[in-house]
Amino acid sequence: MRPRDFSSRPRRRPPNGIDLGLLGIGLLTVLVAGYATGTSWADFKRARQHVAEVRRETEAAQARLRALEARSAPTAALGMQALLSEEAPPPRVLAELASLMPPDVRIESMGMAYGESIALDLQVSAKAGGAYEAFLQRLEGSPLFTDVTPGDETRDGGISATVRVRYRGSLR
Amino acid sequence: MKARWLAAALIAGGFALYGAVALPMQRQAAAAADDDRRARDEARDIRLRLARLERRDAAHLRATTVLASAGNPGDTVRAVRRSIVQGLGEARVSGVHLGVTAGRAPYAVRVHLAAEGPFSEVVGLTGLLARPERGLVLERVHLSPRGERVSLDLEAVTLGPGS
Repeated sequence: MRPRDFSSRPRRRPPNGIDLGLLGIGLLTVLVAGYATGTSWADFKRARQHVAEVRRETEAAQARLRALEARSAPTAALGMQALLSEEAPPPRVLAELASLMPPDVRIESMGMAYGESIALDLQVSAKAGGAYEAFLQRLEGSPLFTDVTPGDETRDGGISATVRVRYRGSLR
Repeated sequence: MKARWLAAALIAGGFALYGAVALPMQRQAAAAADDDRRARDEARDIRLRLARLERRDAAHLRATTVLASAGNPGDTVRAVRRSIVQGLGEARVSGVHLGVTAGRAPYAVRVHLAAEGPFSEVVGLTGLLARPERGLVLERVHLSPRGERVSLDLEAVTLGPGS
């Protein structure tokens, strides 16, 4: 049998449910804040490490790039001409032009000058002005072609026009 | 009561930790991720430029070495002519005019070819001639209609060694 306590000392009240709940919320708050800090630190460290790795690789590639870019202009120009001749022969350029042509537009003649890009001189005919405009717009919007310059055009029922354009293909 | 004070302290500590450490760390992580994205974009751009220049140099090297075995200019002219005639044999074209002459540095040979034929044959011929194994580098190509057929006017060169 336990002895009775007749002292006037206040007795310690055991924590009730509300107290325990508040303690739980407090602990949870600290845990969430700690987790957020930890994951942010890990993200930060990972990103910095990756940046350092990418920079190291980039520096090596840049050194090689500088060496290649230092080639003399005539050699570089000949090299680019040889590359275009290989990678963009007339059948390919024509196929890519044809893919941009509305049905009512046709190429009457075409001149190609190979250099550091391919300069194209096109003689184009179209049954209607709208089709010709659509062709020009598609040329301008294409990443394969640049410097689209419409030349003289004759409108007499249909349209007959010259267009100058540069083909850069995948070499951009 | 002590438990409530402890809970309040924990909550306050949690918020303080989040506000003073986690939030700035998140901002730093976001900035580092931006740096990472920029560095990767830059690296991709450099790799693309590098690949293009390497392809350029490889094409240049191929063009200068295909006919390297031909000793003197006469041999080179004959080798280029044979290669073109072989290409002409594979295409159904007519009205052929072919001129192959020794070129001045940096070129080894200059080629002028005129022919006419059905559109697909003429265009196909230009593709055949531009194949790397022939060593021809295109300079000018002109395609124009001639009745139902297409006429071709083509100028090309071969690169001399050391060009």
